[in-house]
Amino acid sequence: MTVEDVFRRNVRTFYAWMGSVVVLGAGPVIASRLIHGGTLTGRAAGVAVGVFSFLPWMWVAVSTIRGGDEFTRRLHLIAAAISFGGTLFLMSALEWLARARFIPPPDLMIIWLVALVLWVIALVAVNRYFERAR
Amino acid sequence: MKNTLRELRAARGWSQAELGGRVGVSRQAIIAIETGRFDPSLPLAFKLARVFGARIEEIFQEDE
Repeated sequence: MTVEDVFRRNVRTFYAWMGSVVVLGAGPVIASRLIHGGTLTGRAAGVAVGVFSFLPWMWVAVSTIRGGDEFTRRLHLIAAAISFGGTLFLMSALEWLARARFIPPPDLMIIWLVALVLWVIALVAVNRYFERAR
Repeated sequence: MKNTLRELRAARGWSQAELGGRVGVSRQAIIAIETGRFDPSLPLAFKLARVFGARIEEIFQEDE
């Protein structure tokens, strides 16, 4: 693969990421509007838009990981593990706080948003860790 | 594992990206191997040995 091919692939990946992030960001907004419209069809459409707006982003993420080298895969594996562990801890903490009636039952959107943010932070942190000399 | 990848690469005047291109991995992978925080797989270690014309154990050594 020439340098030009790599550049073209990186540009395509960048646009795919950008497009999928736009869909990921717009999906919940559109879904919320449809759900609050009140009709059964609107609510069903809202659920579909909300759920399926994740798919392009997931597809790009999976393609990037599969197309990456062994280091990229290791990076994503560790970041996913950190995100999973952090989210599990948060869910457990919120569950017990709600059971003890310190807080109202938590909004589930908080959980998946935290999972996403944790995943991005973990990716950056793990990358930094590997770049630092021992 | 410690390794002499940085020295071997510098001796040939290759950049990390160039070496990555020769063995089919990213620049980040080479950086991570050079820092000693990421041990490459056996197939990648063989590729690295081949591009430097050395044996694997000449590039990678066990930590004391």
